[in-house]
Amino acid sequence: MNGAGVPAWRLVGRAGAAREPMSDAGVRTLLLVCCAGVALLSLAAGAVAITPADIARIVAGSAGIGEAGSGDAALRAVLLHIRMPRVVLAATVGATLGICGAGLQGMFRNPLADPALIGVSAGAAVAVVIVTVAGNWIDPGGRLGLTLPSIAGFVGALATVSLVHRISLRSDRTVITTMLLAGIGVNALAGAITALLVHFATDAQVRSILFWTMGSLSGASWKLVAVAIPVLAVSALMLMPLHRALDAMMLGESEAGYLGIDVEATKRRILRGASLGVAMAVAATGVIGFVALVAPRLMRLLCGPGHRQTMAGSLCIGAILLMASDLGARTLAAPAELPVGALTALAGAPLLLWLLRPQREAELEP
Amino acid sequence: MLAAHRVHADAGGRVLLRDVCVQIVPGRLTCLVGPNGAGKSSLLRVLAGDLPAGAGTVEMNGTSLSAWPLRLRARSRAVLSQSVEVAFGMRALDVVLLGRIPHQAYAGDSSEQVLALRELARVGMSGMAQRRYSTLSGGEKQRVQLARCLVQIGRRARNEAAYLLLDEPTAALDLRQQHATLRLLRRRARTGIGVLVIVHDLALAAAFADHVAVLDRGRIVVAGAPHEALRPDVIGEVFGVRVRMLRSRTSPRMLPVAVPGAPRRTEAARTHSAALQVEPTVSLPATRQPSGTAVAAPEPAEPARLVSEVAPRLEPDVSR
Amino acid sequence: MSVRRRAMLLTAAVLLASVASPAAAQGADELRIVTVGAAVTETVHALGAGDSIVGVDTTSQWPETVRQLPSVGYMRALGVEGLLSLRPSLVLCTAEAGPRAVLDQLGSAGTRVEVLPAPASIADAEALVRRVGELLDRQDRSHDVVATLRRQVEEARARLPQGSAPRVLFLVHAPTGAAPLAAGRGTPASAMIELAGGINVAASLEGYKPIGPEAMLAASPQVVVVPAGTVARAGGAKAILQQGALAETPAGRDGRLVEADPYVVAFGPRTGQAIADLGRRIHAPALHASR
Repeated sequence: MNGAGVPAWRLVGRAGAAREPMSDAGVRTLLLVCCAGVALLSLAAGAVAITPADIARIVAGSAGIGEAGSGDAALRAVLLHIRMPRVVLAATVGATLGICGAGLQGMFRNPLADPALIGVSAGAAVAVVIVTVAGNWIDPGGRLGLTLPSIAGFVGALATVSLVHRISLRSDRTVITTMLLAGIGVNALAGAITALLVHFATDAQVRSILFWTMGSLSGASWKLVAVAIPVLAVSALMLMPLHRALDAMMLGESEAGYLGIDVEATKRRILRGASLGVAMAVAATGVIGFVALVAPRLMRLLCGPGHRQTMAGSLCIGAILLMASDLGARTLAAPAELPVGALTALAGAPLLLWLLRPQREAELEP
Repeated sequence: MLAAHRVHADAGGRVLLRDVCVQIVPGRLTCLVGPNGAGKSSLLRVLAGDLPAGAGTVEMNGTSLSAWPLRLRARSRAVLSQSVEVAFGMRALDVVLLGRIPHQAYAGDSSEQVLALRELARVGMSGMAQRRYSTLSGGEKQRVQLARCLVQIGRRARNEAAYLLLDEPTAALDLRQQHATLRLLRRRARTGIGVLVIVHDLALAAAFADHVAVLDRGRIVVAGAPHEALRPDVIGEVFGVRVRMLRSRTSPRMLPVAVPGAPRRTEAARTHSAALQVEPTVSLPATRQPSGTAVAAPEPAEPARLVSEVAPRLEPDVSR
Repeated sequence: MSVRRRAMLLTAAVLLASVASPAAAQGADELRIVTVGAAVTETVHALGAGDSIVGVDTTSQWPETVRQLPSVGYMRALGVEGLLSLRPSLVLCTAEAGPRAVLDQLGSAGTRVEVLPAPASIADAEALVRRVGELLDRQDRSHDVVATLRRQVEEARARLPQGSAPRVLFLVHAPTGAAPLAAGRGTPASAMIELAGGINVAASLEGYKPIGPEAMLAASPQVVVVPAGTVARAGGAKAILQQGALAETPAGRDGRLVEADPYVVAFGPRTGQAIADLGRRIHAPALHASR
């Protein structure tokens, strides 16, 4: 990157010099291309073999051109009503988890922050377990897109975050360290209640709950997508404009105040936006971990710590991560399905470890 | 002018400030000194708008501080706290650019980058823009933060007054950089910024300040020109330290230097300090102009020889 | 990955070829069944339709041939596309199969899905056979199977030693090392124990519940039954029997541990054999000692 017209300071290569982040436009293009690529691959691959010729024929058939083959109705059903809503759901849930993770990491000023810290997943799980056991449901998954246990999970997640927030309020100021401790306490409490209730559940209910908590995109339908997407979009729209405030908060809360940011309002908005998004994600697909943690991390490594890039990029990376994991979940052991949460961890962990290799460690912050 | 008038402040039942009046005048470098626990940081926070005043008023440019919208406030006054932690792996340039957050175009603009680089160069950190902030020394970090503050109030309209409030910016700096920093701050003050600096080194205050306020146990003991405020009797009373005033051949200023022994408490000193307790402020000479024009104040070309012997006379790298 | 890709493309090509050729006409004529649940799989096989099975779940282990078939995974975590890729004309599953949304999607994709109650008694097993017989239009065969089932059950029960009612504890060990679960009343395991002439010492519990050491001591079982594979995982019968409170029970002292194959609690067509098998083992003195 040397050359005429480059400012002098760019040529300095001292020890401790930061690796120059890729240009914003370059990363943006790369991410969008990857996203589109993974989406297309997800649509094209699956347990049911649909060749490009089939896709062409189906698409043409919808447009009224050409004649349908004898197996086309089934393939069309698979492509349009089973695979497509699933990929769309994976992309939107992944994107939301990504930006919620970015927002929470900015608020906690810690790259290890995760929605689980504020009790979202535990709250959802406890509500789902209560409703499943009390209402004697066999299967929390969606028949109409969202069943009563799913809705309970959504409400439970929001209620739990609200409780954690309430505990951390000191005369109208949200104290972050108190929130962390409150989150730990509430998580433990929710876990205990869940364990007790599971004891009283029937065997079938226990297994169902267990699989629900492992997260799955199986059973995604357009109905579910129609319910989930507006909520997920609202969450992302609440969080995205806060990038400036989060940048200021990197200097600390007082300093952010001196830079003209309303810190308390920012914290409230992030909590609300993040809890809304993650609650909806958990209600729709169960608990899928790692995406919220890894996506912002990767983005920061690519583009530096500025929150505008981090949040926008986390949307893309989250979508890519979840789409790819779901693709693996439904093709690697076909016709069986693997739990998608295990695959997000499998995909994310080695990536992080690779980025932590020794020569890069000097450049990385904890 | 950024002024606090008869301000009280307390926290958790403890009184931090009592009946404090202080004015930060654009074009002037004001030093706030006092023993530990006197309330200097609290006063700075009140002036910054972070700590609400229990009684009294704080006004900036004629308007009550609480009436200022947060963002506009941030464009007109920058605050540098005692210790600033920076999360995530930011480069020095990124930290400086954070100062532009209150402004419309933030970080996306190349002109913002140019401004940031210029300020970095002015604090003597040119060439360090790409360094990771966490790898910098304490002094270097201080200077980056100072650049950030300068960038925050940079690029104002000509008659817009701005203020810089700094809480012990020289704490981690070596001798040369202490002087360079204060020199820089005074230079910036001359461009129309009201600068308030909390320092512990009385000699520094005496050498560079246009105005000194001495704070003790929440009250302003004395405020005025350095030679009025930093007198041996005042210093002995407030700090309990005996000082001798030294004069340099090259400057008219007298600098206090601590010497062993108990401070001398003459009758005159006792009655004088008692009188000072009653009258919190000393009014300023009428010749001083609060606007951004050049002030007719004695301007030492350099610090007293005694102190400058150990400090080489180097200017920080000016941007080329 | 490229090998898989090639395999997928090959499959696609073959499918395309079969789809394209009118003579293939796979549809109403060819019966392709996916069975979920060991009892269902065995019933279909017993009714002579075993060749029509194209996919099974993980609990279906008998006959040996089904192990070569594609697995659709754990019965409660089925995948729509996976099932559809086997092009079943009929999916037979027990009520435990899930998630429900997947079964619904299968239905709306045009696949016939029949959900059968999970059998937990002999009457259930007979009802299952009859129902599957109806669905596959093999009613005559189903009568035979039911008759055989009844006969085998009666013979097995007749052969049970009289006057001996061993105290039996059915334990399921979690791989995490947490307290093992005991099969209380209402479980197929409990029903089998009773049918085999034993007494379920954990009958005071409902369903599968964790059992603590004191409860185990109080229960004082003479025989411990575990699912097949537990011994290998634990590293020997001794490892299981010497653990904690079990060592102090009669079962631990006498070393009486029985491994039960899955079909024993499946209540499928081989229930009679299961009773005979289990009965023989729990009444036998000191089997599997010092392994």
